Amino acid sequence: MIFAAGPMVGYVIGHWMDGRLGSDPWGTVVFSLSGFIASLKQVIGIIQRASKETEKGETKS
Amino acid sequence: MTAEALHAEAHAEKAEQGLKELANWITLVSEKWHGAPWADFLHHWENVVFAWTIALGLIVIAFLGTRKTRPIPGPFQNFLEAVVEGLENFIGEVLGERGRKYIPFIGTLFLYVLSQNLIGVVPGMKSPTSSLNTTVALAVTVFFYVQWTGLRENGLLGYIGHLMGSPRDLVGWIMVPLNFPLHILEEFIKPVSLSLRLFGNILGEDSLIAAFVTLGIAALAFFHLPVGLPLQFPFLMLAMLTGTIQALVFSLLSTIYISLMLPHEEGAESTH
Repeated sequence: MIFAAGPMVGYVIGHWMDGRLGSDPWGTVVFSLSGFIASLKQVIGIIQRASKETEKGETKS
Repeated sequence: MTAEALHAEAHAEKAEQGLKELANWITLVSEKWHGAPWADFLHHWENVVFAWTIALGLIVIAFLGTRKTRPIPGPFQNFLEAVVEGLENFIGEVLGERGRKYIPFIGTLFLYVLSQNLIGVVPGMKSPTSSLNTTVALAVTVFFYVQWTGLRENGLLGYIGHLMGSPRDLVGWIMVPLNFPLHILEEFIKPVSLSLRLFGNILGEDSLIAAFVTLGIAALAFFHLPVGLPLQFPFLMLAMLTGTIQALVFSLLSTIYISLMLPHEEGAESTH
């Protein structure tokens, strides 16, 4: 769902900026792509966090 | 399901032109007293009414359970203590000792979302979380709480530094123009994904149950019976399972978002 939300948020922001700045379609494209990269970053962060927790749990046991 | 309830469902479906959901007591009341201001008001604010009912129910349970606590607890106090202890362990595993102050918020969030998800299985009731309004409200609350936690724990400069990716060296500072907008986007992606995930799962479950109820009625329609086959029964079990899982996922991700906002511990691996 994070991978779907990322480009969605980017598209909304990019579309709004295109409307304000008249930079259609570049704002939409750039922000949609940025949204995808941000969602990827977030998923990797969550996986790293979860792995850290798993390692902590294994160390304790 | 009676013919009246089926009619109410059909009316609701036509009115909303969306996915089918089973009629609840408010739908039936608004059908019976259609045109009455109080009935239309109840129907319009259906999700809020159910959400508040659940909140009041949880408040009453908490009040009754903590009214006269004893060193040797009775069964009800024991049950509540087991729930709280379970939540403490679950959240404590992610946030550690410094995360104890977040247990009331995340614990309440989990119990509230869980109750809202499961209430839809009860005949005549509806899951408020099957509405995007409810899930967005929950996600936005988590968003503001996480940002407030970041500001409080890191200070304003620390919070902005966190958004820039906590640059420590030259490479970190060079990456700031890339990290800063990406991180801001990430912060907005969090509530969107939280709300859509919960909404999609719960609406999907409720629609599935409604579809099988309709199928069960259609199966016996030939005999003109006022009841249908209980084909939805396995999906009620599935709804209870996925409702619990979604509450867990919502709370766990909220916990992780809070932990990502907290200052990094010494020697801890950076996730940025």
